[in-house]
Amino acid sequence: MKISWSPRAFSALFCLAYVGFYGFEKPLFRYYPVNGEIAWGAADSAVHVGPGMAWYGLMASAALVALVGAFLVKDDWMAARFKSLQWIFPYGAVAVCLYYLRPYFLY
Amino acid sequence: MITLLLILHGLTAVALLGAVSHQAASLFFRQTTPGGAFVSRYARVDAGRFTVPVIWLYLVVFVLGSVIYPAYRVDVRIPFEELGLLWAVGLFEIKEHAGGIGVFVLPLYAVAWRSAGDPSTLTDRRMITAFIAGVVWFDFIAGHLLNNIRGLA
Repeated sequence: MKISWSPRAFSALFCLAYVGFYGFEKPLFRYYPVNGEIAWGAADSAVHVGPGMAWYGLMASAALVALVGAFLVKDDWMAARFKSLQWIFPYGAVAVCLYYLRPYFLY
Repeated sequence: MITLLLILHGLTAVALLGAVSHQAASLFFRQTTPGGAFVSRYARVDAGRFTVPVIWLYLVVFVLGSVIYPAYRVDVRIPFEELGLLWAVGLFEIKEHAGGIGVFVLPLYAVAWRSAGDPSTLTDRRMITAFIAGVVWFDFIAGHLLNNIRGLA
C-alpha cells in the first residue's frame, strides 16, 4: 500500500482543528515561562507559578490532528473537492479567531 | 540575549516582508510590457522564485518569535493588562494566532506555487499569497506598535 501525505489536507485540517481547540480551550499542553514548566492537558494554573501559555499547545494539538488527517485524506480529493476554494480555510480560521478575540476590543 | 533575538526577528521579518510583497505585487499588478511606473516595475519579477525564500524566512521569523514569546508574556503583557491596554493585548493575540495559522498554511502555499503555470489554480495562488502577505504585514506592524509601547528588556 502506497502511503501518501496531503499538504492541502494538512493545512486545511490544521485551520479547522486550531479554531476548534482554541474555542474549547484544549491545548495539548500549557507552558509556564516563569519556571519553565510544561503542564499537559487542561492544566490548573493555580498550582503553577506565573501565567500559562496555551499557544504552543494549541498549535501542537492542531498539528497532530492535521498530521494524521493528512495521511488519511487524498491530495487529489482535496484538490478536486475544494478547487479554487482552498484559501477559505486560513481566512475562515483567522475570522473565527477574530471573533473569539472581540472582548479585547469591545470592553 | 532577548534583545538580540528580537532584533534578528525584526530583521528577518523585513526580508520576509520584501519577498512576499514582491511576490504578491507580481500576482496582482503584473504587466508584461516593459517600462512603466514604479509599481509595474516593482511587480515585474519572477514571482515563483520567491516561494522557497518566503517559506524559509517565514519559518525563521516564526521560530525566533516563538523563542522570544515567553519574555513578552511575562515582561510585557502583564504590564499591558495592569495599564488596562487590553487592545494592545488583543493586537498581540491576533498577531500570535494569525502567525501560527500562517506557518501551517505554508504547505498549501507551496502546493499553490508548485503549479504556478496552471491558470486554474490562479485564484488559490492569489488568495493564499495574499493571506501570507497580509499576515506578515499585520504581524510586522502590530509587533512594531507593541514594541513602541513597551519593548522587551
